[in-house]
Amino acid sequence: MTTTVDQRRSLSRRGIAVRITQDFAEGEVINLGVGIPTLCSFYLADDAEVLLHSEHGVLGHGRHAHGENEVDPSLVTAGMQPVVPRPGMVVMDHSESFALIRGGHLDKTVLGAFQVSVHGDIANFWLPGAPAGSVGGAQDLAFCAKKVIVALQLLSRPNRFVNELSMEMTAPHCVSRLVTDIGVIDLVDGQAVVRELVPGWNLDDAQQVTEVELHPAPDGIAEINLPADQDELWNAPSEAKA
Amino acid sequence: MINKVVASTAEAVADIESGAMIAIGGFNGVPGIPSSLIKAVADRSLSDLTIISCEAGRGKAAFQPYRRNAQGQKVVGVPELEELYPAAYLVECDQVKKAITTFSALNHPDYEGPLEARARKGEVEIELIGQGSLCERLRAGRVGLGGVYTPVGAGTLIGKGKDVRYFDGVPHILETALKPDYAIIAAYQADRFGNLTYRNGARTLNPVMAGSARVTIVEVEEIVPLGHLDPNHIVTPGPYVDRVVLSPGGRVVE
Repeated sequence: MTTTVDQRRSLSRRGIAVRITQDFAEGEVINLGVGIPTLCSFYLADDAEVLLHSEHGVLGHGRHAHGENEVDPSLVTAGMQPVVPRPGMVVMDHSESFALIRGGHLDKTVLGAFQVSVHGDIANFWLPGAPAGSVGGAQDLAFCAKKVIVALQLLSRPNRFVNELSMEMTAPHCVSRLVTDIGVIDLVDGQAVVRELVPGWNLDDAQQVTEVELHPAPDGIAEINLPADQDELWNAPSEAKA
Repeated sequence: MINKVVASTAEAVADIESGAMIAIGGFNGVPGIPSSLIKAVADRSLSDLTIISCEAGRGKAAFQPYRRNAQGQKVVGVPELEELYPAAYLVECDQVKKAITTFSALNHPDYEGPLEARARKGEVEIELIGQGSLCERLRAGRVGLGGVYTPVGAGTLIGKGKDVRYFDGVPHILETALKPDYAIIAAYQADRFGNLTYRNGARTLNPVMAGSARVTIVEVEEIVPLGHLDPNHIVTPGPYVDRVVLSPGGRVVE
């Protein structure tokens, strides 16, 4: 069956975030980058014992703060959202916080990117033609976290998932999973393996949005499992540009 | 008698001269930015400063949104947020010739921050470095090491020109110690010995920079009597600190 791209729904930024949280396991220490990754924290259960790490030096904070009485301006995430403390939370200085990262004590990091290559190289700190860049903690995270997941909108901008980076590389060979607006792609030994697709998409459709050769997962491609009736998780067909 | 407390922010920074290298504490919009010390330095109308700061890309105006919380309500009770002067304020005042920083650009296709705009014109030099490596360069300065080898940045623009050695088969780059002339930092409480505590996420780079510089100057929310701080809870030991000054809106605990 042939359908055109603009007749299909795709995941919204929030939809991508929710799909990423499905990969989080109890007990894991996870750092969320700025942008779509930050949205993941809104979809974690309050009692989930996933320790979120904010690189300026807060580990295991609670849910987002609501209202003036709960907001303590000294307790925010690295993305500047006020949060509440929770039992077991620890604060530390920047050096200790990055020791945790560089020492390999983070189970996962979720990053945004300008570009990712099929080899798992990531570019997210320097725009072409810019006189300056901003690397922040992304390089430490990308080099040293045990698993690097990238949230990537393939439909909204071209050339985001490529064979070779054309932008300045943040870190080589580090990304193992892309959660995109059309599905989940694992990067395995230099190959792009499609694990899940948004309902209505097939491998041929997906192939049209990237130059990288896509391979089906050996055990088949699953449908991405998100509630179809939660509108905020989806982009309407007209919003998805291929 | 040891007493590191000075009367005003102006007095605290009075001997900083043009050409100095200044480490500036804090992270992004969180408390922990030594806002009033930054303002005091700016008021001295210096030139050719080298600043070391986690964030140097966003100017004063860009920090104003963080006076509102995620629900759009104004964040109250934080004096320094009422009028926040970030490190890049010194860039906006054209007092900086070089910035060693992790955030130098807004990374936005349509907007340019004060630092990148000046870098584009060749007026300011930028040394971009990741946060973990920035921390360790400052820590090395504080603890008397010449530098550290880190795997982070090897094979990228940030590792370019740096000495490379392999440990367990993994390339590491040499990041040399930073020993600024001054460190200006923020803390929660201080006693007259200069012992410091911090509050929640405001710790950031402040304890890392304390003692890395020849002179460390700290602004605090509270100055407390000697013996008030539990020795088990002091984060920065007094010998790393040279001058203590009260932040505007701060209080002296008798």
